[in-house]
Amino acid sequence: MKTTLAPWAESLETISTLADANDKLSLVFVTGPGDVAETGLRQVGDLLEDRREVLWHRLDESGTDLAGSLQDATSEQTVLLVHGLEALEQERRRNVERGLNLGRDALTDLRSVVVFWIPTEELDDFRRIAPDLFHWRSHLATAVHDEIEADLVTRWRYLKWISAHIQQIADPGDLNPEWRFWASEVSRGVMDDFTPAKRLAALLPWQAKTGWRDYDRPIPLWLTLANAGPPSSKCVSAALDIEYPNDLGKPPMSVAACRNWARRGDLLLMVDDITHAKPWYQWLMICRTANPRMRFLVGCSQSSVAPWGAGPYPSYDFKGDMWEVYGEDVIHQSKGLRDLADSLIRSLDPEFEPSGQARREVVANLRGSRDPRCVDALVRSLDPKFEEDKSVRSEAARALGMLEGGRLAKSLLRSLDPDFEPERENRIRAAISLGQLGEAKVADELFGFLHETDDPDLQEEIVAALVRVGSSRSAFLLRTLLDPRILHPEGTDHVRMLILEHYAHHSVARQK
Amino acid sequence: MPIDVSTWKKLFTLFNPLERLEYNQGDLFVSRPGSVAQEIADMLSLEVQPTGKWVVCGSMGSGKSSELVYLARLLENTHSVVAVDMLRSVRSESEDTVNQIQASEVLFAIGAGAIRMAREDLGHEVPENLVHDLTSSFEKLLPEGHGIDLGSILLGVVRFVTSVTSPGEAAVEKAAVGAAGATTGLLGSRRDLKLGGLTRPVKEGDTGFEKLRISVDNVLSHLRDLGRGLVVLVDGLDKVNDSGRIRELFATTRILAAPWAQIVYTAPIDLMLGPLWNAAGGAFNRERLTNVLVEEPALERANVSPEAVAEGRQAMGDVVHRRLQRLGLSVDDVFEDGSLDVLIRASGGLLRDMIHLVNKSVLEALRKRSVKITEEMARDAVVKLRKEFEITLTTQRVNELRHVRKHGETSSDEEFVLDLLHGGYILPYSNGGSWFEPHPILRGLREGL
Repeated sequence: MKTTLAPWAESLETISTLADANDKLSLVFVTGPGDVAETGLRQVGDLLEDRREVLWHRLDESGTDLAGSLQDATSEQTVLLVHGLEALEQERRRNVERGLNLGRDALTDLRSVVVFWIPTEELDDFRRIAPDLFHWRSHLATAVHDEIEADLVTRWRYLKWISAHIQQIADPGDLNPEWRFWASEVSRGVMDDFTPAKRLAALLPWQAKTGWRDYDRPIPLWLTLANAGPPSSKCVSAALDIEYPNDLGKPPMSVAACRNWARRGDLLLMVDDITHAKPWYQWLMICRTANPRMRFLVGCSQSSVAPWGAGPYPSYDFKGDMWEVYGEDVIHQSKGLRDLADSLIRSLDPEFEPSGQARREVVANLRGSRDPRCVDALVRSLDPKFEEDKSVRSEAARALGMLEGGRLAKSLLRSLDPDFEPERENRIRAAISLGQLGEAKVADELFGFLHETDDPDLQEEIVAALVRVGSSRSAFLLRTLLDPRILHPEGTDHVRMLILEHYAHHSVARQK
Repeated sequence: MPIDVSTWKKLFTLFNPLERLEYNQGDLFVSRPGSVAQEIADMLSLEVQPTGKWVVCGSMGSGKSSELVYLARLLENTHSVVAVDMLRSVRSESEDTVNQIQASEVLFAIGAGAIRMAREDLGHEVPENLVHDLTSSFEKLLPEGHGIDLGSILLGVVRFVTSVTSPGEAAVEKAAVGAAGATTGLLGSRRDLKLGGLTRPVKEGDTGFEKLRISVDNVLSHLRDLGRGLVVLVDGLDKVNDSGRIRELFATTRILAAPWAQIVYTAPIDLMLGPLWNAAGGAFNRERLTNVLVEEPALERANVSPEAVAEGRQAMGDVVHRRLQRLGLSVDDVFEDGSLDVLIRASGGLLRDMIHLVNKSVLEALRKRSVKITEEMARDAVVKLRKEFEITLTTQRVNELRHVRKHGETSSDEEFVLDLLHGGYILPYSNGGSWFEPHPILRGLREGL
């Protein structure tokens, strides 16, 4: 099995090894975009800060006296992060590079890892102008925007953490060689072609041998069994480990932050020994809806497994997605690792989740999700035959109103029909959502409902929706309503006023 | 013997690219097939050219400085060796001082180095009037009102043979300045110590230059009179990479060939190209420090025997072997079968890259907590070094490399071609005749490489 890390992740790993390998001088050059020089170097600093004192040097401000920047060090083991070339115009930059080259020997006695950030477009010049310094490099790393922004240090730490957990399992010498092989690959970060069957084959003998019971220990096994190996090289991974202090040491409570974070990639989230507190459930669900491909690994004691399916918050059902491991038995609780959104969708079923309040909460959390299965589930929740709780249907209409597309509009149109949606409020909510959608294809249907209802509030929302649609067809239809020959006798003036008001309002809004 | 983490760390240091071969590390020096140092040493000892000048040119990292150190060792019992390191004798501020070196400054450095050698190695003081002549003739080439302390300039010249026998050249330099300061009171700031673009340009026939030449010759002549043969070794001029400056130093003027002594200079690889050498030829003997043959060349006219390739690989293997011996290890202790060969082939016979490749392999082994460097780790190291080259490959460069692959020579001496030579993308080889090849590490990166 051949595994690869993204270049920057691999470089971080190499730099980390370098820092351990040598207590003398090591030079590392990182070539990457100038605008993320500081961010990238900070990641290097974060990586090494527990082993070395981190110092900075700006070539554009402090010149080439690198040794001078190390004079303030309080420790013998340092890492000097050097940048500033990106801020210099060509002639000065070249002079600085020449100065670095000539000053190379002054670095000889330093006991530091010196990491230079070389802007990508300047690398060729740097090699040419400072060939002697460049020759001393122990590593040349390449960094790209996406990887820097993905905060791979967090990922790296996470993988290290997994690796440490794996090593705690038992004496490595006792482990099945294949398992050890897999474990080492996990620590490198990627599993490409290790089949679940192969993994199980590796696991079972090991289980039989160790007979573990401790709740901590299933974590790496779940990694194996859940087919949730570390993310691919294109992925971003982040650790959510409450025992390990890092930037993500507690769940972000902002919904937007969760979504943004989760959408960055195919995340593998590890939550170790979490409590069955509502924020955790909520957080997990938000992340899950934002990224249906996301995988969770939750470590908890055996006695805490049950609440995941039937605890205080049954609407947040994750248990069906889980593999449970008890002692020497491996119980496959579900047919496989299902698409993660399925749990939420299932929670919208009143037969599965009898609490209307819980279902409404699920709908609220699905708001904004563009996963087709979630959208279908929300549309289904508009149907009173399926969803009797009007507040859930209303929430579903509101959630769908934030989406786009003709198919949704057709579904919402049905909710204007009193035979389909008996609740007046929900019919009005559907009309508002249709207005938010602004779907041109439904203009004729809306027009039809306008004639069928005598509810002034619903009439108003339909007119507003037609105005918002803003197509030539909707405009034509509304103009016909202003014609006294066509208007229904009842409510004529009211509808006419509505049209005029909304057009006037719409026109002002457009002018603004 | 399985290698543990602590030994891997020692190996990492042993193969750290910044660990240069020092004068007192003769056990690490591997004489390559057709040793340049030995050949020059023979010529110098025979004194068939009492005022002969040699330039040793080759790729950056091919071991020119090491060869000069080795040459000094070969001569230590028979000659007084004035060994000047020009790179460390120039100012190290941000200016492009290496490319500003004037030929007259090199001459002055030779004179100063000779005075220092006499004092520090032989315990002999060169007569004051000769020292005065040297400094005053040099002063006449400085701009008016220069404010430079000539005494400290004299002390700022760094001798590489002395410097490498002590813990660090910086310490030696400080010690030298301190000692001189104590006796002469000539202590300037560090800025004042160094050469590099201080003098006005001069040519042969210029009165100022002639005075300097005579004063340098007088110092050298005085040392020769002490009874031993005298040889001057000047390292560091190979670091000059400005083509105009190279031309001026070695081709358009003959100043470097003027002193009345046997002098060996390291010189840039540019002198291996026909046009520049034709301009410089006649004044110098050229010794091409080509790379060790580790593979049979693709070029038909190269005509290399399998034995020569085997000998080359053996020499590269020896470089590793000798370093390992320092830790009491053998190649078999550290490398799995075939893995060292992967590195040797990928190095192209360039010592610098060989060290880089072993260093990267060691790091890989350390990372994986391996007991040996496997073939896969060696290949990973090759891939990593290859990536470093790939980053800067452009279409223009690739086309030139293809030309070199096909014809065994560069298409021109344009700047971008020289960059390929300086950067080690193109490597020189010789076997009687000489030719160029793209670095084998580039193989597979583009078609036709």
